[in-house]
Amino acid sequence: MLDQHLLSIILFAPFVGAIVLIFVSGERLTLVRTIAAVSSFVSFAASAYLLYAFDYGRGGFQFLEQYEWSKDLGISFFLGVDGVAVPLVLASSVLLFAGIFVSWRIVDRAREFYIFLLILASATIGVYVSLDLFFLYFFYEMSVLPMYPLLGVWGSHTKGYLEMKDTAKRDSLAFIFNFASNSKEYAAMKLTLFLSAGAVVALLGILLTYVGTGLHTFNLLELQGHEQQFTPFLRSAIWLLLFFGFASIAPLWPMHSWSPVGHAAAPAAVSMLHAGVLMKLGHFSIIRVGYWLFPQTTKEWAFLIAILCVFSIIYGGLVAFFQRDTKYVIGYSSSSHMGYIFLGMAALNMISMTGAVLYMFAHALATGMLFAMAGFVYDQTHTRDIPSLGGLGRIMPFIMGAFVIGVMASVGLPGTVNFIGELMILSGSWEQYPVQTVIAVVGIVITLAYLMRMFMGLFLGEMDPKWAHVRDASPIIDRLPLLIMIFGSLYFGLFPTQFIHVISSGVQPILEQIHSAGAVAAAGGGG
Amino acid sequence: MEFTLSITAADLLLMLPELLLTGLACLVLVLDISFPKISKATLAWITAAGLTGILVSLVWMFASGLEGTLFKGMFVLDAFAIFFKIVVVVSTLIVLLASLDYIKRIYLFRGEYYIMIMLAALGMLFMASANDLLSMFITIEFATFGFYVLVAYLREDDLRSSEAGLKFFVLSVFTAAIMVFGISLIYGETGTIIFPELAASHPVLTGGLVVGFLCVLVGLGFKIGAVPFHNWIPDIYQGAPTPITAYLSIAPKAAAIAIVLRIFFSTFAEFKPEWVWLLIGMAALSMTYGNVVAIAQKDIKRLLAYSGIAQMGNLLIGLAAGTKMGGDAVLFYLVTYLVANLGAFAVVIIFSNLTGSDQIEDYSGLSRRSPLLAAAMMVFLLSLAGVPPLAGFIGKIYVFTAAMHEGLITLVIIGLINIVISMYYYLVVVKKMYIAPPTDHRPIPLSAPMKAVVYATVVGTVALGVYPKPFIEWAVASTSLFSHLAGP
Amino acid sequence: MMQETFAAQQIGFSLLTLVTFLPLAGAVLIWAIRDTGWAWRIGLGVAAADFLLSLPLFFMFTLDSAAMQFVERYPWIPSLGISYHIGVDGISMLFVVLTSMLGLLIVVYSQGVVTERVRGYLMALFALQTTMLGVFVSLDLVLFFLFWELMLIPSYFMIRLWGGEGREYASIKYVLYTLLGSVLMLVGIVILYLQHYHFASAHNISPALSFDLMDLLRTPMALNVQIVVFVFLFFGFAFKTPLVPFHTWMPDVLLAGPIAMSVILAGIKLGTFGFVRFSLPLAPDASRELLPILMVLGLIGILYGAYIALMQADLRKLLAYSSISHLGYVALGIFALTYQGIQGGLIQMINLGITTAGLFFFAGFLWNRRQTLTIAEFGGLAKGMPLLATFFLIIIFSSIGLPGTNGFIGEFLILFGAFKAHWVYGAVGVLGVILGAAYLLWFYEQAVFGKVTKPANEGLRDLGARELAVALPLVALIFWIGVYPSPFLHRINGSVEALHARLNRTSTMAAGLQPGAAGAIAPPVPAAYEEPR
Repeated sequence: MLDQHLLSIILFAPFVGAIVLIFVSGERLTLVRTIAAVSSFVSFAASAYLLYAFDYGRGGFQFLEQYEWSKDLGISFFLGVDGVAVPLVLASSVLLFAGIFVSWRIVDRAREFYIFLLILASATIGVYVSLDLFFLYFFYEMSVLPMYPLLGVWGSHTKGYLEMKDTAKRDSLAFIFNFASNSKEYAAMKLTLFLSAGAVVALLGILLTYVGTGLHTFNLLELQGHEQQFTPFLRSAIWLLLFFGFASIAPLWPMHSWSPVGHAAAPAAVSMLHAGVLMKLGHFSIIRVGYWLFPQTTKEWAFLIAILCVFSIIYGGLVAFFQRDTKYVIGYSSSSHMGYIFLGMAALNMISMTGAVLYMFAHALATGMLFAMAGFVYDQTHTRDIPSLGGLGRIMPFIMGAFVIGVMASVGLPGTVNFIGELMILSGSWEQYPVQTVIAVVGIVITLAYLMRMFMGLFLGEMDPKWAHVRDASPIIDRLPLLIMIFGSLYFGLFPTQFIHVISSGVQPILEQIHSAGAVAAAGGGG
Repeated sequence: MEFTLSITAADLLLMLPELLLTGLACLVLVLDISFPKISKATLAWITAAGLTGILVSLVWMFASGLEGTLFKGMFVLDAFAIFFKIVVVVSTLIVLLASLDYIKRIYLFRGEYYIMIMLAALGMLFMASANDLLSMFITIEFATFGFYVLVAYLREDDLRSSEAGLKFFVLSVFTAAIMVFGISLIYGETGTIIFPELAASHPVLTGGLVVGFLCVLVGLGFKIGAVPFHNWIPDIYQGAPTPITAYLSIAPKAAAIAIVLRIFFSTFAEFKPEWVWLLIGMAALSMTYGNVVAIAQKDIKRLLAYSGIAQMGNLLIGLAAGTKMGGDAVLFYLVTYLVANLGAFAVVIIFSNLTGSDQIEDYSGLSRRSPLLAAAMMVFLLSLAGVPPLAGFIGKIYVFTAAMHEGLITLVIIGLINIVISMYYYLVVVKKMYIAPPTDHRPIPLSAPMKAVVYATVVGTVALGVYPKPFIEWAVASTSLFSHLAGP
Repeated sequence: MMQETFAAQQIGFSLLTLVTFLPLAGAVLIWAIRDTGWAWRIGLGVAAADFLLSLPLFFMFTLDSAAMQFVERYPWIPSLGISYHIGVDGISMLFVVLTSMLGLLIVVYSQGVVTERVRGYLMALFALQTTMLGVFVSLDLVLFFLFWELMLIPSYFMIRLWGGEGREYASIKYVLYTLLGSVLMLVGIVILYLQHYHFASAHNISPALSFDLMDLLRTPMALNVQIVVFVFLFFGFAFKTPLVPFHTWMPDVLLAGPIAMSVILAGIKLGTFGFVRFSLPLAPDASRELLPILMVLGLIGILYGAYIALMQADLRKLLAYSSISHLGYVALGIFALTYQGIQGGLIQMINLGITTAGLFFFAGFLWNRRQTLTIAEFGGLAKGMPLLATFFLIIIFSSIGLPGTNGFIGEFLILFGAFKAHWVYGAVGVLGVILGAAYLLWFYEQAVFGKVTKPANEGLRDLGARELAVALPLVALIFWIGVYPSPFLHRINGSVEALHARLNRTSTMAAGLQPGAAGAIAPPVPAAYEEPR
């Protein structure tokens, strides 16, 4: 009984929470927070159960649920997860649960905030569990829009912007391109428009696929294996549309510029979800749609991914090194780390793909921690400007310690799950792409460089006396989310076996498709 | 040619809604005149009750699958007609409720206000059933006549209203003349004006016929408000009383769409290769023009006016597909547009009732003054932008899919680009409501009927997005008369 | 070096795990108990216990055996072929004991010196000790890499928080350099992994996926692959050692870091150990190919280090460069790839662990007295502090390599090995010895002999009990190894032979070599220099 509706529970628990919140008075903060926490916890617990209930021996798509939605358009509400989706579902619900606590202290229209946050998270989960192309896009697009109010209303301006006194300069075109100093409104608008633009590009690819197969269905399992119906040109075109459409949210260089801006403006919890899981929608959708429906084309175009990922890694890393704003540092580091995932995806073999998916999960936790802590420091000091901070380590030892672990995870030092991911990605990609692999490992050093720089800037050195009033993380509300993420990162870093089995059971059929390219096989289909 | 008019009760049944509405109008008129003391609200409620009754009768007619023609085929009743009649009646009903508070700022002829609305509605009901060029013309004029008055209704306190009324009158008459000219040409070429007969006669595409056809298109385009026949829309939307603007923005367009569909899809279906280009052009232009110009708007009504033009462009994509699926898409899109657009106007009405302003600037901090209104407005605007899980999203996907099946990739691409453009200006309003700090902090009171309207439209917008199945099926069932058209 | 003796048979409980993780447990305990006084007591207790626990490794070690001993092996991440596999052989055992001993001495030393953030200091120290021990005992490359990388974090904090002038720069530089090396090393590890995978899946050997050193040693590799592997691993170890072109972090850190950190970095030769443990056996042919380059690097190290050391006015700088020079010797020895070379290299690593550590301790003693280490500031220390002068001299002698001290054995074996590789290497190497003698004696002459010129040097107290407790064991070891090294040689010989045999698989020289032949090598010492028949 539970298993039949497990995915619905994971997916709809936050939705239900949001709907309940609509009818709760915004004045009753505790009630509001509790409802949000409870609804997200249900989702969290269920997805944790999902990880262990998932039968990796059997592989394929499991926990299927299908309901007729519109026969005339060939759409059905079709849920199901494979090994690729499971870790991402878990990551989403973990970050949501953690995010609820991270944003516990929001008082301005907290009810609306939680409503949007819950919608955002559950829409993200929706993408991961959808086996119907229409609903995949449905949730994809749906997860983008809540970002607008979340950034615009509860976000924060950058220091550069606040320092800009003359409004003329503020609104000038030059300012628009000055990422280091932008308003939250600008960030929100830019993010929403970029992502919507990416989405419609992908949508075009989806519609072409739908029409091209002529099956009159959006069901991913049925659409699979009809690649040969397309002319080589058309399928390449579709693949590229899908790839670039989805990669824009990933974000792949050179389509990344919206992301750090958005990270910086967003409140902590939103940055966490955004960097943690929203960006993975890109990789996931590319795998789920591009790889799954167009294996042969994927094989032909994988080199493109391998080329672009290098730019992501290096560019993101170098830019991050020169940022003054904590959230910009983490933001660029995220977009740089996405390059590793793309590298893993490009190599097209078991170990690297598995590593890539594992790394998605790992990065979700790592970047989640960092953003949570950057957010905490911001809440305490109301600045994200690294130079004006410093010496906080004496006042907030817990945060400092947690931050070290966050840095370890983000860099991928052994003992964290990131390391396992990196190790697998490197092992998988060395033989196809030695150059990229070496660049990638150098990227690791760059990562450590800017994270250390930020760490020292925040916690070591001399403390400005005006921070005397700040405090360390409070026992439950502030520490619980961090501890959850730290535990996840370390636990799965030391015992990743379950994960690796699950993921590889999902990756295998996809790769079989790719390597037996063109063969019409429902491998892995129908769970 | 001998002419006998023999109407049986069964025939009358075919025009039951029209008859009921006529009766209702007369009743209200009588009451209004004979009891000057009667409160206008009462009249409104009577009207509302009557309209509800008519709605019920329509639903019953649809359920019983009633079909048939009257007056030698001038008047047709089929599922298709019923669909549009329901759309018209529903929008009338909503507009009526939305007017209840607004009407208070009108000093004269409050009673007539409702009657005028009803007469306009009557005309549009007939439009939905118009089955030949002549009845088409007459019904259009009949409907428009009501609007001449309604648009100018605020003449006491707002000059723009009168100006709008005049503009509207002149332009309508002008296009009407063109249309009549077109009709005469078509009749001259083919010797008939009844749609089925026209289709049956398989006319050859002579120059005269083309010109006539184009002239008719001008008239219809004017009603729909698609580029290049859109110029009247912004000023008149801005000038007219807001409920009437809301009414204008949906009901006549819907009725006109009915006629357009009949003409393009059944009457001149065989000329599809020729007219499809016209529609593609109109669609592309309307979307792009509407969205781009909307960006610059400061007045919410003008913004909605331009967005309306763009919406019609989206809708024309479905027409351009020229398949049954296209037809279904158009009908469904119309419903989604109805709920979202009327909802948006309802919010505008409520807001201007309190503040008397339609400036987007004044919507600053609305979410603090009235979370409900802000949230509702956001839902409507995002639905118009085509964001899941809202009605507009499904509508757009439906239309695009239909067009895609016909290989109109370019048009779809233009449509997709326009989604992004439109998202911008809709979000600007959201930004004002949610992000900008409020200029004054007075909370905004909601009267019961307004609340009802807002809730109804919000629920409709979301429901259509989350579970559109019944509506899609309804649309599909209503377009059975186009099943001769090729398509998936 | 392929066969293994499990701890279960040898001693009956998982001794190595205990030795490795006891310090970490101590760190946790110190964190839990929020009291400085107790922190010291616990720290001392834990360090002592760890040292005592490590002694059985030395005494219960099977002599002249190439086998891995005290081995423990549990599957960890089977799906990737990663296992918890630890054990010691002749190459690594002495380092384990040395590390735990130095750990103890450092605690003893610090107790008098460190006053602020004591708990943090001890935690960092113990965490560091665990990671170093882990590096020495790991037989699984991922496990090894885990310890190798985690070492960075405590090291960083040691330098950053308890260092002196210029610690910010030194700490970050140290971390980044080492990380750069080790990520490249990671690539090398990955290549080995893939090589084994292809080989294993071709000959369906299980496990196909394995990071286990034992499995990787069984994997044959083409020369060019070996060279690639060697180069990538080389970066990792060369940065850590440091060999000369990669050495620039060393002086900064030894100067800025706390004495304890200097002792560890200069005393515990992780980098060169890495070469002997991984690079040479895994890529033997490549090592032979690259021998000239490596030897030259070693020589450059020797001369460069010695030369720079000569012109240092600051003791710590001098010691820093001298240890670079000494590392050159070690490199010279192990890269000679001759029996005595490797033997000497290993012994010399141990020796440096004792002498260099000693030198830095004494530098610490002086610093605690004068808050400066500028050589010109001292003079005539012998007057006030005979004990300090004596012990210092002994350690310096050992560092120079005077016969009778441990240094002599090491340097002699190394040079002997180098000569056998090619006489030029040896000849140049000898040059370094002279230089080495020069700078250290010059310093001693300046600082300790002569008159007391500076009033500040008057009435400095002599070595206290705690300081003696640090100095005595070191001196004792210096003489033990110097006079009677065979217990040590017998413990390393087995592995050295096996390694030597592996390195010269194809060469004629090793043809007649049977395992255990070195059993004949017994005291008196000179026998050790003979070519094993």
